[in-house]
Amino acid sequence: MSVQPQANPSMSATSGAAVRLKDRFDIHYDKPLPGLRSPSAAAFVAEDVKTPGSRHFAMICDPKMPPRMEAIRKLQLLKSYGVLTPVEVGAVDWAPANRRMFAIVCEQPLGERLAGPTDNAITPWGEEALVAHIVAPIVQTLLDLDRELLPHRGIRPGNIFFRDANRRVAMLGDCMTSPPGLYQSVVYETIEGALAQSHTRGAGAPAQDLYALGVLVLHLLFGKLPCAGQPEEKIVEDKIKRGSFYTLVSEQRVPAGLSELLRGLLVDDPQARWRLGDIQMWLDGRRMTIKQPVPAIRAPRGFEVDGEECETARHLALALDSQQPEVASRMIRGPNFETWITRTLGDKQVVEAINMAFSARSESAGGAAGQNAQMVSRVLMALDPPAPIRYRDAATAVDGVGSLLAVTMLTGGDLTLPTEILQARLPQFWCQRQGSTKGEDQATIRFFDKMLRFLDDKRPGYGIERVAYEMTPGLHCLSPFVESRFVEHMRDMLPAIEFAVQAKTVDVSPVDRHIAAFMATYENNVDEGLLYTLISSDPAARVLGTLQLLAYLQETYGPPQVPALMQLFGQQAKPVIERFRSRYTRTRMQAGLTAILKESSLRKLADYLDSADEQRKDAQRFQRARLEYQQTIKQMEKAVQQTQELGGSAKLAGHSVAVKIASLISSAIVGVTLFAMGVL
Amino acid sequence: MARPPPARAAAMKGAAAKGKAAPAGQGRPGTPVAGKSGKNATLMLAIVVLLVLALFERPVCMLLVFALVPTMLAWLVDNTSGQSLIRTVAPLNLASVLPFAIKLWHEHNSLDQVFAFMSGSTTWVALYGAAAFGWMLYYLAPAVITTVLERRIEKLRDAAADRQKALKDEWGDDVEK
Repeated sequence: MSVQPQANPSMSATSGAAVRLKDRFDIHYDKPLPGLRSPSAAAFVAEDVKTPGSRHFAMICDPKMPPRMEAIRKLQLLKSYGVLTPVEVGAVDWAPANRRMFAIVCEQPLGERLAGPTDNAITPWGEEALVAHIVAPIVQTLLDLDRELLPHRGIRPGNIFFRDANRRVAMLGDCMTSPPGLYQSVVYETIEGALAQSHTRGAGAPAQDLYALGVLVLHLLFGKLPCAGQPEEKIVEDKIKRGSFYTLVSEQRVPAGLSELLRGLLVDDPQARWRLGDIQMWLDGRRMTIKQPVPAIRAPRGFEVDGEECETARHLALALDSQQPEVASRMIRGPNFETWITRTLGDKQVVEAINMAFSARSESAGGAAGQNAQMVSRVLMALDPPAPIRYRDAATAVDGVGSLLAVTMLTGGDLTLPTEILQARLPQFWCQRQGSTKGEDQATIRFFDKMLRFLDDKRPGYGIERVAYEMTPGLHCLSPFVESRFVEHMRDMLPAIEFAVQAKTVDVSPVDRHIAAFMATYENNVDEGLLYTLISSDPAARVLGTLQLLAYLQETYGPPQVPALMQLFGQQAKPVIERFRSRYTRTRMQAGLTAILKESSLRKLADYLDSADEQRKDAQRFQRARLEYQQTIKQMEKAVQQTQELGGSAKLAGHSVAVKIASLISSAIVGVTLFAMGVL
Repeated sequence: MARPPPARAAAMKGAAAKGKAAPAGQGRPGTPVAGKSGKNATLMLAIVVLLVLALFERPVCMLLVFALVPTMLAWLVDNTSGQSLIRTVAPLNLASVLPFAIKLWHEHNSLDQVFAFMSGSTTWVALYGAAAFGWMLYYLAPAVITTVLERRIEKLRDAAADRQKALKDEWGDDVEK
């Protein structure tokens, strides 16, 4: 399939090895910029045609990763110098990949990257330089981001640039081209983030950026990644057992000047962790007190899981999560577990939560094994409330469920896990376990309840596809018909479908479940009744429903010419025309179709084929024809009866006629005789 | 749709109604006795007229006896309730007698003249020809009427069949349901 330029006003092809984005930026795909690339986006030179000489570059996003559209929108509004900010975004025809790709154009930082993307060893920074050139500018940027409630979630040496060539002012790199925290090392993640799968860490909160900032300070200070060379599982376990500060600092000596900052940032309890205001005050030279986090309740005797003694609920949750759900389920249902929780650990909140986990039931797929896995998942949440939702092989933050679903769909993975997580209402259980007094959790619960309703609804426009688009803003339409056209806005949908029809990708219905769900998500004015017709058993209703949907798109967004679609509907119009009972109407409709098809207006075609007036007239005429037919039957029966009765009646009538004729002739004879013989 | 004109329909209805009300060989309700009595009344009237004529106008009476043989035969043969045969034959028969009766009265009102008439073949042709025409009329009229009505019914049936075909042609077999 060849990629052809579309009649899209926002984008057009340019001469040479470049493509134009929204009539402003020429992106040169023969001029890569390896120094500016992100793990999920290659970088290329972008020329501003309105301001020649400006230094821009374009990141071409990996289509298998959903971009952070919310972050892009907020950064466009924020226009901060301390973070890589998009100047223009949109999909472009990317010839090297033979498809459309999402491009983000940003200004090139004047300085280089702090370290290579994979460099764990860095030249150590001095204490003062580190604070002045790295910490202070980043804190200022985080303050800007905090005003927009936007966590960066990508603070690591490989994703930090300098605003100047002298490497004096650090700026944060890309946080737009992939799900939040995707490329963060486990070291840079809080315990909660580290427990989640990398693509399902969720945007989280600014506190997670501050934790990463603390790790960054350690990294730059010592010139090497903390815990380098250790397995990820070991690092997470150590963080849980010993706390992040001691795990990451290990036996190294932290300068007294930075000890306070690091202790404040690397606190595992987000509530006790320093906030931006605290760092600002520290930067201003005030001496801060470290809030001592409430230590986790330790049991006097550990619960043994696979030879390991677990003394805290969080450690037990980690150990149980490492077991198969069936094994973990047996342990949880065993008498020792209950005794340990209620008597040995003695944490009333955990006991209450465990009881809730046992009593919670949901009608979900997966059978007994599924029920077991769900119970284990709830117990893990009861034991360790802030940890991500851990279900079977999935581990996702509550705000990472959308990414889990989107990435699974994009990579063609099995959707069973995300579906079961939603059906089992695990996100709602997680929210209930946070014990937050804010309305945020209730709003999240309502949101997931709504998603569950969408999931259970099997009609087009709903189902797992709708959930994916609702939960992942900016996820482009994943219909196989238009996926390669990267449709992330409804205005691009019809041109993409037209392209697919031209390329023979579509041969029957150009609207599938993905397109229906995408439309239902982004177009409030779409008539749901039309979406239901897509699964109608009546082929005519299906064709008309599809046609009406696309006619709406053409009316709202254009383009004015869709010849391939017109031809497709022309071929599919037969069952629609066959709905008319009158052969003459059908012939007339078929004859008039050619002229309508030439006009290339889906609305006119829809109105022509779906004319209520024409259908009403046809139905009325059919009823009249039926009555008339019944009358003709009666007439024929009457004729037969009359023929049978004709003998007697005709004889009688004949005799009567004979009498009358005889009378007439006789009268004539008498008259003539009387006159002729002179009597009269 | 080719519907039968109202006048025709009414005529057909009328014919059918007549057929039902008075089928061939049967009288009107209670007519077998009435028909018989009517026939006898006709006979009595004829006998009375002939007796009166025999007393006062013997030549005319004689002429009528010879001339009205076809009518007498019709009286004998006619078993219809309305005496259609008599009513067809008798007027023509009597009308054919009238010229001879007037001539008899105006010229020689005698039996000789009656026999003179009877001796001429023209007289017989005139008298019995008219009666024969009446007989012919009586037997041919039903056949003609039957043919005409048959044609009319056939036309209506054909029109209905054509319309059915046209309706099925436009609307398909569903129109039958």
